[in-house]
Amino acid sequence: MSVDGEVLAELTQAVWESFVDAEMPLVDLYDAPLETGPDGVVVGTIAIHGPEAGRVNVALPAQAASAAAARMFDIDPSAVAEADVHDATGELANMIGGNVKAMLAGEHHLGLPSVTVAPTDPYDAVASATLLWGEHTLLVTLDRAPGGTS
Amino acid sequence: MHALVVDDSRAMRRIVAGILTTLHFQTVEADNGATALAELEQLTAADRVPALACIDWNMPVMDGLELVSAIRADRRWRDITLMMVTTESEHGQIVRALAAGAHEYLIKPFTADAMADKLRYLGLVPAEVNA
Repeated sequence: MSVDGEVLAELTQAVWESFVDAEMPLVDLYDAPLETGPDGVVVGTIAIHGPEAGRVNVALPAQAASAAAARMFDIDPSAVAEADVHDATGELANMIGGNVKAMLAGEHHLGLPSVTVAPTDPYDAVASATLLWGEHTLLVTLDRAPGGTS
Repeated sequence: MHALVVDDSRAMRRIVAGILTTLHFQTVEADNGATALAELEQLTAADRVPALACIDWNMPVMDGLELVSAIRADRRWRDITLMMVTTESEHGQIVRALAAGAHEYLIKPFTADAMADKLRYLGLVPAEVNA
């Protein structure tokens, strides 16, 4: 794939600045590990189908996912529901995945986003970016599907 | 002024509807092209044909391109401004959407100001109204 960690970080920063927080941009921590926090990790995943098939995963601590949802939907942080967190995390994966797809050679299309509360088993990660948002980290990875297409 | 927001993502519908509400639109939401056509029929029957439809590309049941074509094929809806709001950013996709009858194209991610600018350009938002 023609997308490396730096590109993944830039795409994520653009989505984050537009829809989550324009005042506190994400800082690229390169290969730093994800700090999961006490309440586990929320992972948004979207599949990219085509010649360079794979998945984009956006993982962030549950506390950060809730805070991001509050900002994304302009709601009080105390009023954020689980459905809001799922909507926000899935849409982040969808938008980052859509921009990754646009950078791949050949015709690709996106699947529908899914959200889990624990990390999914990765395929072979071909790119990753760890980003800092305030006191939270998030991890964005691009995996390659076995066999090249799906 | 009414606007129809069509996206299978509830998150994106909320975001787009929120921006449009700030710009003084009354919004109706649909989660795919088929439900959007049903909403349009209801709005038309109530004499509330929207001035604007913001349409995602990738949706189940009926996608955005099919919806644009369906709206353009119906004379009752010829005055609706159609804006694709999508992650599909390839030049060929944009050309296809415009050829099918879309007036404008907004690529995700976008800012509220970028959407407001597009709508000002289309004459749907007065210059003094900000997102």
